[in-house]
Amino acid sequence: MRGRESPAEDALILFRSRICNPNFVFTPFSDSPDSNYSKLKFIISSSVTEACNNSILLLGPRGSGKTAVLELVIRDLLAEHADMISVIRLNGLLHSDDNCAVKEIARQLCVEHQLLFSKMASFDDNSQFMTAMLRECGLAHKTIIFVLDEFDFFTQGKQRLLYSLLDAMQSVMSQAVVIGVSCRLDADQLLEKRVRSRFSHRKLLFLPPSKEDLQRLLEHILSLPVDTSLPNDYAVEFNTKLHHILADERFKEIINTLLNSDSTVKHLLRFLFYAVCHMDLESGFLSLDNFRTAMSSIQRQPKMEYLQDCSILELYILVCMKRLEVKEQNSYNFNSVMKEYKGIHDAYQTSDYYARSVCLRAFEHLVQRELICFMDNRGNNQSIEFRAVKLLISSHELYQGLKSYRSCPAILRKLVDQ
Amino acid sequence: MGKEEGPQITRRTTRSSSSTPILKNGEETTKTSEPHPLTINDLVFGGEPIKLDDLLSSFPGRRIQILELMRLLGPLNSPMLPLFLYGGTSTGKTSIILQIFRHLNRPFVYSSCLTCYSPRILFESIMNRLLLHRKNADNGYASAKRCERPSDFVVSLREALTNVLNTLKGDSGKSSSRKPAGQANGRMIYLIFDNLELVREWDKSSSILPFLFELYDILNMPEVGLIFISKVSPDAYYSNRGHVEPIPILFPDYTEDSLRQIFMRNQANPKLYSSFLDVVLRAFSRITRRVDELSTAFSPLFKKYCEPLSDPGLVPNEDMKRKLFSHLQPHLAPALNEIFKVQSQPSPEVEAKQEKAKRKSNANKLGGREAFDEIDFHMSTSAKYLIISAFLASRNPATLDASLFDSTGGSDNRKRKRKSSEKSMEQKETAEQELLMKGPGTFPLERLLAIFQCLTSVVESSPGEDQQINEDLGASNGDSGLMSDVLLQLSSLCNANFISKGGSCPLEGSTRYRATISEDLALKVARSLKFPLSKYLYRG
Repeated sequence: MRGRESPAEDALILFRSRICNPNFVFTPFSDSPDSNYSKLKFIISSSVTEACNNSILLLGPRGSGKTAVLELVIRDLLAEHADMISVIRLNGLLHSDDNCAVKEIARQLCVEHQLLFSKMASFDDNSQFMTAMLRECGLAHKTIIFVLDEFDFFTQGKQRLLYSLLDAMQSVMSQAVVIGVSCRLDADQLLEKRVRSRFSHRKLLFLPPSKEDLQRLLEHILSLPVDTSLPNDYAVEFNTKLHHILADERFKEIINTLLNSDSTVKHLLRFLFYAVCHMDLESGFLSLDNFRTAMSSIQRQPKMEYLQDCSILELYILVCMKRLEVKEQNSYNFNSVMKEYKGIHDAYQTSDYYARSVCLRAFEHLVQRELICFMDNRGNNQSIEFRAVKLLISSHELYQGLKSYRSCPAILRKLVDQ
Repeated sequence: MGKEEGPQITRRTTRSSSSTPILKNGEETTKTSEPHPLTINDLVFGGEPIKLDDLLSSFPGRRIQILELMRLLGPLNSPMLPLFLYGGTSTGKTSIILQIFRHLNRPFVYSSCLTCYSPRILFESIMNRLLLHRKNADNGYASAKRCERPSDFVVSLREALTNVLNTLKGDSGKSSSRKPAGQANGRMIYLIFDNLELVREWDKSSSILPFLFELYDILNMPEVGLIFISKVSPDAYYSNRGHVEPIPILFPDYTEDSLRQIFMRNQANPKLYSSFLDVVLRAFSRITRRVDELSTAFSPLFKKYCEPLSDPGLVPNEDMKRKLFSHLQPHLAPALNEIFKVQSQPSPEVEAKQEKAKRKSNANKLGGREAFDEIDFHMSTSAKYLIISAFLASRNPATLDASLFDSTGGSDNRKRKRKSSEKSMEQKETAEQELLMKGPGTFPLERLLAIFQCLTSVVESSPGEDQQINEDLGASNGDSGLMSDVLLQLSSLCNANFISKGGSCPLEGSTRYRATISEDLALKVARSLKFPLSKYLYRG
């Protein structure tokens, strides 16, 4: 059903592609000369033009845009000096093993220079090839940029790869830049002595965006462009409404609450994605409610959700375990819980007294839901009734859960109150 | 073996296969019945497309989740951040997402971490789907590409995805207005990972789980969407390295109203079933709200409910409902206590026996309890004695054996029958507590065999016993025949989890065993043998 898609749908697709595209998101951060983008670009381009070696670490919490800014820099440099740069990308999650890493370097070098890559090459072959290529590229005045994502994975073990890379850079022949990207702010402390001495100790910290940066970012992502295929008056009206929302105090409060828990850009992008997906397609405008729904979906309480899912028998078991804890029994197992359950039944004559096998199954459901867990691993081949268990929710959560449970028996609430 | 290298190696012909004549007809039929090679359009759900209203009505109580998923998946060709669907068992996560893809007719690759139980199988199965490779006899049932490590997987995945996306782009560019049925919509492809919580138990889970969550950023292809399905919530996956969180969508357990709607679907006689649900649903949903468990509990009860009705298509009025309810009521309480048991199919003899027993004790107040005193599976007599010996060995401390099992076959009189003082009552309580906590003890094999010999020698020597028992136990060779039989029985009891291995003795290194049966079952077994178990049990 191709037909004229509504402008609202076009706008929605536009927003979603923007949010999922890190290059677009981080472009406004590249303007000022003070930003990480400019500093990084200066360092790399100076080592390219002056034909010298360099190494640098990009550090910051996960999702603050380190790789995104790096990709922007590389893209711009490739546009400027196309022939003088080749990029090799390694990821610590995939290539932390030395064999893997060297094979991947060789494969990417082959792809770049249109050589045939053999999968059967050994570790020595690959590393010899790498050093040979470094020398050749150095002679040809071509800089190789090594991007090492999840840098802290490469610092595990003997750090052979790092040493060989940084060592190769010491020779006059080679021209290489090694850029490490890591979430650990102490990544350089993880380096061995001989590796650290060859490292240039340059670090760029990626901090959470300031309030002005944030405002600019929001407008950059959510404003509709006026001169494209979207109808003009729709775009203009959309942008005006957006400005109203962005200036609203309640919106600012929502954003503050959001960033109080996690102030990285990625977290904000998730929030915006959710809000944009809930945009009302009929009217075609964003409203404050969209942002509120997004906020409540991010502020989840998983244990409370699971408590609401429990059946009444499972709640009984949880309350019995809580009472055993209150009585300061250090370790208890299913049999002790059953004794307590029987005790409650005898004392209060509840109607919910079920057979042992039924309670055992409900107990297993609770283990599956991760509301309780066994204290030992693999249990010494003991059957499930004898293994020690403990609660994974606090008494406050249990109390709140019982309070908001729809048809909770009054006896349970009374027992938890005591 | 050379099987991995592909079909070029000719198989060794066995004598039988080379001697049978080759059936020409058979060959031709196999050739024609071979399935057609896979195309890009096999990546969609296939079958008849369904409309949104049908989708919503086929999943009662899930309207919110379906609409939210549709919003997050978005219009055609819009990029998406990874999604994370989570919720309890049988809440409809997998079926809903698959039906949504059937409705949207977009291509996807579904892989479950339950059937793909190691990283290599997972990667290779995804690659097989993307490369449109089918495992058959021609290629020796081998995968298209060998992918063991995540690094190989990423390289091959990128290639395969680019090929698939190019094909999709070509297809969608060609046909503008009329799309033949079954052709994929759009230029995006989605990867669905089901049963993600099982990955936590894999060997390499510390590197595979973050890899799966980071896959979206590593691939950096906006035309690929990732969807994760899991039974546990996202906070169970937090590691100390952190990862990018996908967007969570909760599938809560069904409420009572939704359960009612679910059970009312496809019922032959809705009014009758609705009156049945009025009776049972509230009581049973206090125990569990899972659809699978409730449906197995309800089906035998509904049969019983309809028993007095002569015409199953009848619409019941108030009188009828009361009658049906009073007929069902005595069966409700025991059914509640048996809710999680899967009833084994009773053999006709057992059923006849139960009928006889019921008729005999109709006046008995216990109702259906007498049937529960029998064990409902068959065991040989020596196996029963073995179980009882194992139970005694686990319960009693080893120092008591000499006094309990002396040559007269056990003590009939406990010499110490003093009045219990307060201290001994306390000691009894703490001993009971310990028993609750500690569980059954372990025993070496020799002790088990000694007790077994003791017990069976008692039975053999006492007169007036059933001749059959002697034949079972003593058969021909006396001791040596008995021992070999016993060891066989022991291994089958271990397989049935009545006896489990409990770790080795610290001094000698021989294995010790532990009886894992409950006291109820031991009493039942003893009762069926007319064995006085309680006399031998150590009661603190």
